[in-house]
Amino acid sequence: MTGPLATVLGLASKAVDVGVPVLIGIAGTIYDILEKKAGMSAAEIHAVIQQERAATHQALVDAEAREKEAHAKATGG
Amino acid sequence: MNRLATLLLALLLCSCATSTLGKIGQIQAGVTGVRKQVTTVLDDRCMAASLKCPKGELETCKGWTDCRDLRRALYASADGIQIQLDMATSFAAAGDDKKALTYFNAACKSLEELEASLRKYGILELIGGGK
Repeated sequence: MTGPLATVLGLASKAVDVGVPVLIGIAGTIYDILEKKAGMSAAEIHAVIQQERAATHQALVDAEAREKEAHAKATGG
Repeated sequence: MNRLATLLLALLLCSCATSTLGKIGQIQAGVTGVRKQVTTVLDDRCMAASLKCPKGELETCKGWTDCRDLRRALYASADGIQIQLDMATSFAAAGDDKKALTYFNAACKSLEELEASLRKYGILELIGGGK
């Protein structure tokens, strides 16, 4: 089978491999993209970008802290 | 591994909005999605790597530092794209669509490079083993 239908079926079948958090995240992002099709003001885009940049920085700090803590617990350090 | 991310990338790369701000908004949301994908995959990978490191040697443990540095680099790349989009937004708001599109196109190019990096490091996989 070829063409768009095969692509859709391929997506559906492979989706079972994907973890629920990832699926939820992707669905949310696609929703965001489609929602933004309606249009955002420059001020709204600036605000979203600032939020995302802050979230990116925080995610990095939090992840490294979690890993250091987990390593310390696992090794009894 | 997240194969559905390909769909997300296809959506954002086509950027189907008609206005410059609309295009910027869509790509911005896509970059955020990609960054979250990096978080989802590399947080698990780096956590697993950290647990394999010897006691008291995490900061010098190659398995973890390689993963940590990759995550830092990919985050920095995503952040750089957000800055490009922020510039594009500023020019669009000022009515200079030509400069806005210059920054927007640069952001799209950077996003393509980021996507290539994500595939290289196994953070994204293309359905059907495509390009």
